[in-house]
Amino acid sequence: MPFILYAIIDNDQIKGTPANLIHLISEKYKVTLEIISGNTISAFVSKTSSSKVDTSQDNVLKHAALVEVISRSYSILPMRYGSVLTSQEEVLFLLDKNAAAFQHVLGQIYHKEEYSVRVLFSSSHNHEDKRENSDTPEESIPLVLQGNTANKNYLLKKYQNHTIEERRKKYSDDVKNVFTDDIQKLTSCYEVKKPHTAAFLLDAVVLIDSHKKNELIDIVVKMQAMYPQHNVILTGPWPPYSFTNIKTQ
Amino acid sequence: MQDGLYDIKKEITILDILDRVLTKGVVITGDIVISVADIDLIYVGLRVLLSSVESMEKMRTID
Repeated sequence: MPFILYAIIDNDQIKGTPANLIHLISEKYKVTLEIISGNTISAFVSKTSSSKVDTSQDNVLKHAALVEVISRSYSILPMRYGSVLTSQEEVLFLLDKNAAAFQHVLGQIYHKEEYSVRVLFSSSHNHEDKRENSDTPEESIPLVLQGNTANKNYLLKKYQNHTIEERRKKYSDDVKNVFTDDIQKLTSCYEVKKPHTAAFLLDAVVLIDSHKKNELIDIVVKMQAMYPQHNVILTGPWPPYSFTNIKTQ
Repeated sequence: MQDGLYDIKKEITILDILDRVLTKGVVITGDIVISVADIDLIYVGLRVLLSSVESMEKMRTID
C-alpha cells in the first residue's frame, strides 16, 4: 500500500500517539494520519490507493494545510507535494538512511518559523519612474548620442532604457541593504532571492525563533514607513519549506 | 493600507503556498514530476508565480 508523506520529525518529539492531531485532521480533511517510526526519525503519512500523483490546486492546498496543521504542534521538516512511497518498508528505509541529514536540519529549524518579506513596486510608482526617465535632460545624454546621427532615436531609446534599468537596480539594492542590515540583527538564516519580475524590489525568506515574530513585524513596519510608495508584504508563519533543502538518498 | 493591497496579499499568499509546496521542502529523489490531466509539469509553482504577478500588475494598472 503506497503512502503519502507529509512531514519528518525526530522521535524525541513524539510521545505516544498524538490522538488530538489525528482526530482534527481526520475531521477536517478526511485523511487518516499515521506515524511511521524509524530508529530516530518518524514520518507523518497517510495511505493512498495509487502511487501516481494527480495534481489539482485543491490537492496541493490540502497537502499544504495538513503540513501546516502538523507544524503548529511540532517542529517538522515539510515534505514537498508528491512525496509518495510504495510501501512501509520504503518509508522506513528513507527514514533510517537519511536520519543524520534529517537530524541536522531538524536541529537548525527547531522552534523556528519561516516568513516571506516582499517589497513590490506600486503601479503608480512605475508610471512616475517611466515618465521621469523618458524626459532625460539633454545635458545628461552622452555626446555620442547628441546631434543628428542616423540611428539617434534608436540609440537614445536604448540609452534611456539602460538608465532606467540601472536606476531601478540601484534602488532595489538600496532597499535590499536596508532590509539585510535590520534582519541580520534578528537571524542569520535568511535568503534574498533573485526577483521573479521587475515588480519585485525585494523578495526574501527568513527563519526566525518563534518568539521573535514581533521584532520581525517591527522591521516590516519600519520599511513600510520608509517606503510608503511601495507595498511591503509579510506572509507567514510557514513551515520551514525554504530551509529544508534535503535531497534524500 | 494602499488600495488593492488586500487583494495582492490574498493572491500572494496562495502563490506562496503553491510555490513552497511544489518547489520546496524535502524531496525524496531529485525533482518530482507531477501531472495535471496527464500532462507532466515540472516547477509548475514557479510558472504560476511568474504569470500571476505580471497579470496582477496589469490589473492594478487598469484599475
